[in-house]
Amino acid sequence: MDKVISANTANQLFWLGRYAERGYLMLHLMRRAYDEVIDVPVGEKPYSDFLEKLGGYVANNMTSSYQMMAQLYDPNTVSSLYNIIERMMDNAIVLRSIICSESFAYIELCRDLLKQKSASKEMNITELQPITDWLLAFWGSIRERVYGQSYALLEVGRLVEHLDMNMRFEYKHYRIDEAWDMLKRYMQSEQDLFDRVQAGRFEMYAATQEAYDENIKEHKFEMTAALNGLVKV
Amino acid sequence: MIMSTELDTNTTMSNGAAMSETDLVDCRDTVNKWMERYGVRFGVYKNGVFNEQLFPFDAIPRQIPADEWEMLERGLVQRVKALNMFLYDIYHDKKIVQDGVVPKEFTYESKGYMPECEGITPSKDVYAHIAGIDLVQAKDGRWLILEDNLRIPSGASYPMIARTVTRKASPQTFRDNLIHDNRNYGEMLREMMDYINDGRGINVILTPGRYNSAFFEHSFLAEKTGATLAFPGDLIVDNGIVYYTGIYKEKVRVGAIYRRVSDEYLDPLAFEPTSLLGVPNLMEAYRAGTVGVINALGNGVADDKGIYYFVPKMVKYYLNEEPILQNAPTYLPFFEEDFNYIINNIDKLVIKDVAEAGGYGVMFGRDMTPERLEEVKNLIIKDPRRWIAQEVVDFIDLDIIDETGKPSPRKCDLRAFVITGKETKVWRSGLTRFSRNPNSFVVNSSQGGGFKDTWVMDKN
Repeated sequence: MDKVISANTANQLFWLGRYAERGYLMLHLMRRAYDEVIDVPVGEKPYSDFLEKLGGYVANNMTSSYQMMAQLYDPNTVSSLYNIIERMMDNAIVLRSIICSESFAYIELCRDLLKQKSASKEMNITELQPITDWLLAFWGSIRERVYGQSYALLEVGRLVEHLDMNMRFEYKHYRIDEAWDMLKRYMQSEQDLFDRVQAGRFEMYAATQEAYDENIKEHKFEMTAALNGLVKV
Repeated sequence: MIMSTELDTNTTMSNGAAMSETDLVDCRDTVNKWMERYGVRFGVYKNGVFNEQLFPFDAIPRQIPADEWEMLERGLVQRVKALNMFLYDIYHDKKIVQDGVVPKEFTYESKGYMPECEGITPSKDVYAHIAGIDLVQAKDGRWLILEDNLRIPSGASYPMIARTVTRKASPQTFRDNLIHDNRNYGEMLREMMDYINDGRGINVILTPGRYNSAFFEHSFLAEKTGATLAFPGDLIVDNGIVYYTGIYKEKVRVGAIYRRVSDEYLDPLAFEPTSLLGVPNLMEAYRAGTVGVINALGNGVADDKGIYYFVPKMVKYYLNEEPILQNAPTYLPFFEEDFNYIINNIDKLVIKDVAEAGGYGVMFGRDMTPERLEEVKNLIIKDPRRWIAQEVVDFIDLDIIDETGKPSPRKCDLRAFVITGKETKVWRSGLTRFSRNPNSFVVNSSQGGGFKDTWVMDKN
């Protein structure tokens, strides 16, 4: 049965969805960056572009491996995987009664593994593959166990983050279109969750594929701003 | 994994059924991993810093044979019925005081007595909906009551989740033994909440928040009862009705609140004005009878360590029955004879501060220096109402698997959970807590204790 949820709970569900998607995509993108590095000439800073897109601070005097280590495990690096998993846990811990212990457990597993790998300063990213697997299992568990508005909020969070990361990493325009179409379905069923002005603004900018493909800074800024103002939680 | 039927190291339980502790012990790493996976933790504040830690679980269960449990069940139901009658009496007719069975010093001067509750009749006349009764088993086999907890007794979630996990880890053990399933605690709570609610609205569990030491339990019980977990600020009172406020400020009526917030913080307009944990005007709704509050406010008057002495007398007074379960031998310095006994035998007794809980304020005379004994004597002389003294009960040890992986005896108690809705029922399990320190009698989790599952054996 669908339960009524408070404004705080709605906020937590939305952000749990966002952080879960960000953790998943970050690992995916890091694996891609690791692969690309194989072909980068020695002496270049191979991860700078990747880290800048994530919004992380890129210190020029640091080695690439140190930067990537910070991106994984450093509590002081805001965009680090460590912080993403911790923020997921902050939200999940208060949402156990909605997401169920089984879904909660996957986040606990992610956190435990990350702590272990952090302690051993593990740099081989394949060792973090179970986190990706558990995040996928987390979403599977959510789809099995969570219903109604709670499910919608998690899914809306996931889609907003998906769009944000896709835009940051310059995914093809059709990927933006697909995710936006999915998000619009929730706009119909959960109308009061969304800011119609921001939805219209995003729709307008997203429709101009040329500007998106050319990665025009102002255009991207408008899309990101509209996306971040879209959901009223 | 070795299944119990394949082992030749089976032990025999007191009811004769075969079991394999060895199998469960072999599985203890698996069990602990599952407990970690589910985030089975409790919070502790040390030097003002909040830390969450795993509640150490020992795989060897406490087993209670069916006939022994039947006696316990009858005794617990009897005791809780008497306590409920006492609470009604204290806040209404006060006959037990007028009849001189309980002195007024132990009721109206008790810290747990709330004058604001005078004349209020809670929903369905129930005060102690969830009673956590702490017992120990003496070496002669007798079960003795150590303490009644009628305010916010916690701990049921731990054996509940432990059973879920141990059944996964060692299915054969549970196939081979007739053990009452304890995973029905959520249903028992739900049934009681629905009864108290009486169809008025939704059920909520009100938590002080995630930094409460028992937050795991609050969220887990909300999951298992299907109640909404409410945080401070989620509930409002409008025109004497309690509502849960939804995402768009829509108001959903609340019919029953299982509150995990202490009385004094429950309504800042009636009690502690600085409380941010409570619901302003909740007392108004409670007084008007528009919402059920579980447990009722003011129950502290019946679970004070001083009033404990009088509970067997309450059983006789209200039910006209002999108490089935006895208290641990207790002395009240308030009475002259007891006072003299305590002063002369303080080095052999356990002295407890009635205002403390969680294992704090408990002093063993035998462990104190002569100077400290004198200090405590003076404290008792100065304020006899504040203290009780008990004989040291030589209660049975149960084996745990210690750090070296070997069985080692430890002091254990049992918290039994008694639920009162339409009827009074005892949950066929309980929280068995043990001291991790081999020389300690203190089993409280806040002081480093661990827990075991409690198996109540089924005759059939």
